[in-house]
Amino acid sequence: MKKKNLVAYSFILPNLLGFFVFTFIPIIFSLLLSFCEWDSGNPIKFVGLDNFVTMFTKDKSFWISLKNTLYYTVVTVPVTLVLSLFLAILMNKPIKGRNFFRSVLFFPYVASLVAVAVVWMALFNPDRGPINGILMALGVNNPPRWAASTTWAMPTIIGLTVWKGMGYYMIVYLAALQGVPKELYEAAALDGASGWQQFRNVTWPNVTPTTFFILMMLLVSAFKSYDTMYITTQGGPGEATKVLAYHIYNSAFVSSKFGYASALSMVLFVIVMVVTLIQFKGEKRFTNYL
Amino acid sequence: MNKKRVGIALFAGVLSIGMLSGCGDEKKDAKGGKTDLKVAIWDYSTTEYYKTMFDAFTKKNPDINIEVVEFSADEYDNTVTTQLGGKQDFDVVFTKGTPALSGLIAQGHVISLDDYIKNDSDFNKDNYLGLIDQLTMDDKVYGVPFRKDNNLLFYNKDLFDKADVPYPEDGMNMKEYHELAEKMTSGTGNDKVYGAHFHTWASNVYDLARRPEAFDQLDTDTYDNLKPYYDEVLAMQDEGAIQDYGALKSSNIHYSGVFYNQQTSMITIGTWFINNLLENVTDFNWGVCSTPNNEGMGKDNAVGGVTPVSIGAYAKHPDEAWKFISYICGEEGAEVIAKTGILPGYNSDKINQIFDDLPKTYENAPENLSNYIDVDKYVIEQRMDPKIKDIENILTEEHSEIMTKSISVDEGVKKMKERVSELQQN
Amino acid sequence: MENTKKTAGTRIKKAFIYLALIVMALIMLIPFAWMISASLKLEKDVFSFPIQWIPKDPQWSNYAIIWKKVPLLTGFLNTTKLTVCTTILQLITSSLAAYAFAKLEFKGRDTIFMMYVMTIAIPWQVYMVPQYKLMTWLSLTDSHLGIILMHAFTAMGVFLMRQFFMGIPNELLEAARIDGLSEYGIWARIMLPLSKPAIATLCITSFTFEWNDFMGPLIYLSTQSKKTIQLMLRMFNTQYSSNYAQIMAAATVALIPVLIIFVLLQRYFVEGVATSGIKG
Repeated sequence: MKKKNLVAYSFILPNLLGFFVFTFIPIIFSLLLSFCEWDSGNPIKFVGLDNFVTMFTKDKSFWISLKNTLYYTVVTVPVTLVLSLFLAILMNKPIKGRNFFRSVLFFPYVASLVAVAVVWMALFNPDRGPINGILMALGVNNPPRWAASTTWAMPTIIGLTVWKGMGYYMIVYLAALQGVPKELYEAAALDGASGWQQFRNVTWPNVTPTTFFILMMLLVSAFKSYDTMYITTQGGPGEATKVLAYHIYNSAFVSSKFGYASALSMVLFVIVMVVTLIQFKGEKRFTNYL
Repeated sequence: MNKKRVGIALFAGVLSIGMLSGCGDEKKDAKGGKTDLKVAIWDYSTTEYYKTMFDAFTKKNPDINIEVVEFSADEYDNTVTTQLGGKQDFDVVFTKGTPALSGLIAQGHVISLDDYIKNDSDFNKDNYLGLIDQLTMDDKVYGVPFRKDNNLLFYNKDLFDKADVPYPEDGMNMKEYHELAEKMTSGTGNDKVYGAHFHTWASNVYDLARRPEAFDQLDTDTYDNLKPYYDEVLAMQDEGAIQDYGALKSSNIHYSGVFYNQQTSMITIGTWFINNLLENVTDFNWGVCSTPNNEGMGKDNAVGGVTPVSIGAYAKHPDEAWKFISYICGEEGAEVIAKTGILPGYNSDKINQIFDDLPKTYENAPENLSNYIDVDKYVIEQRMDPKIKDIENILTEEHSEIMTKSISVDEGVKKMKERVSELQQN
Repeated sequence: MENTKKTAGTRIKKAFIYLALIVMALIMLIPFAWMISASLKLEKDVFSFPIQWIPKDPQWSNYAIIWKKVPLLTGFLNTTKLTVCTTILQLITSSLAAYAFAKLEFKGRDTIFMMYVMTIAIPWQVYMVPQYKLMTWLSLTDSHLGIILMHAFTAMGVFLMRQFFMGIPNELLEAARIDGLSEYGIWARIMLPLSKPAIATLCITSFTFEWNDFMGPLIYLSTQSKKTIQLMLRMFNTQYSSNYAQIMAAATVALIPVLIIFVLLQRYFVEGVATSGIKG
């Protein structure tokens, strides 16, 4: 028994050690910080649960940013997941120029965020962008003001995120699809299964570990989202696109409240942890057959 | 087996490459008796005058060697804060403005300069137009102004000549500014020339009220004075005399391009623009006058920001740091940047003369620029306060709601008052 | 009769798919087209309206200026070094750890794995300052080694590989164990070869992340000669003027290695690799 453990530990040790020292310890430190007050210069002061009390009772921006984050996540995650799976299946078929299309779909992911954001914002410019140009030509009199409107700013950013990210997740799904034995499809086709039935009974069950991974990564990156908002709307107009990560960043670098920022991220962390645990349990149920 | 061996070899190889690259990092100080002065700054490699100034300083002080630590402009504040959080031993720290400096002071990352000022007989506070007294917190001075930048109304003389409209004058009120802008708006579509231009910063609106001291971020009772300014600016936007805020925000258009391309006749922006215009505009003549306001203020007051320089709290050579600071913020340093059209923190007749002489080298510049530089009172745009960064954030958020017409001016100003009061009470 | 109906229907379907793909491809290429177009313009024309896709007077000189204005070549070398080291280190250590989490039974396995996964949720800004303090204490600031160590051991890498490994049937491993292969042997001779797509994915992910990362180098690298491409890109913008034309020229150049890696690794996304030896 013991030898088995030792062998296993030897596998995880290099990564675990590095991870523990360089990532885990700073995270623990910031967890402890969430019960303190610190502005990066003056000595750290222990304040118990004060940060959390302030957060839940006095900080209106917390609730606003939490709501924005949930809105953003609930839309971005499923849309990206479905689109990337669809694209991956498409890119797995014997189509001419497949390699070319795969590369092109991947482009926005590697292009600089600044470039992608600028183009997207230019397309959706309320006064001069082509999108509104087309809408007005189609007879829509007062097309949405997109990023300049508190109602439409978030959908605009959601669109940007999906556009930029789906190429990457398509690749991840593509890799997973390679592992689905061709014979299963052939057998299903022989049995007279339609395209949809093949998907449901062959493709989907075989990529569940990957779906779990992608779901997790999408969720986490949606919750952690900051760069996109920073480049396009800076959390505005008003606080319409201020997500939790933005509020965390502001608390740290504008308000110099590193303790409070840590407390905010603990809340974020707990939310994601709960969702992860639910998914984990779900995964165990679905992938036991292997 | 082969794969495993290759893998391990690679691993070892990478680690050793990494280690070797890490070596040779020892910080060598005092090479042969010289003191290394660590200076934190932005845009060093892309700005000529820094090199000129720093070289002149080291010539005068051969026992000091300047070690420049440069960070990119956009991320400068956060990077410096993080590094100072790790007790980085910067001797000299430049900051981008009073909010950034306020933050560093509150965190204890910079030291007070009172003793140095007292003991330095060559240093005279009066040469700084009262700015030294404004770079204080709790009655202690923490910075010396390296450069200052006040807001002016820049206008395109050629466009006014063509339209046969008299040039804008000091002391316009907002209604007159609006009418003038409307007169100077012409054309449609891509050929449209706007009468005026407002940049998307909240300060572009509130500075108009701040100059006559009708507005103070730290006093929410003055916030109602912003309403007439917002009303007028929104009216200008509605009538198409200025570009729409939402469109500007969505398209990253830089205000400089708009003026260079003669797509706007007037713009209210800071004096850093003088340097930009000197370098970039050769095809039309431009002029300046003071910004409009509803309080009848002529050109006596100026409102603007300051670029302070301070001494780091963990500095190894604070005395040399002070020598450096008093040099670059003193007459000699000031002369170097004045020649490029940049307003130094230091004020003197010599500096004024340099500005008046600019048209000799740059034909398109106006005469008598010193009228707008040598002012009676310099109102600092953002007062020093530990919470000023947060306040600015709130003002910016509400500004964007007002300008995109997501809420009314009254509601927006009300929200500003409520949020800032709440912030100040905690 | 039925056959011709089927072929006609399939042909229409195929044509539709091709059309949709071409439209998608065009949409996907727009940011790239904009980058190149912007890189060939004068700064004042970059954001002019309406967007002029083909600049009237292409400023090819932008591509020459960028190398002189900032030490871009140094940036390239530094970024390459950091990316290669981090990626290799990550591939090796992540796949080793992932194998244990996916296929070995040991004490604390699930707990430790959960610990990994949960840390993914924490935005880096939060532990950025404590991490900086730690690195200062370890004297690893302003060094490439520091950045490599911080980035090579990510939870994401382990997570990704573990999920792929889960998909490899246990029967293969049992058979190998019966044949007397050690766990290391199994890792090297069975898991890795069967996971080429996964390895390629992690390689792409790690490469792209490290290549485009700028917050890490920003905070930790003060010496000019150590800085990376992404830092150089930011230096084109000064406090009072933007230089997006040059930034886009530099960004376009910086894009090329990432695309090359992707194209090279494309061949691993080939069917059939994972199916050998399962049935039969």
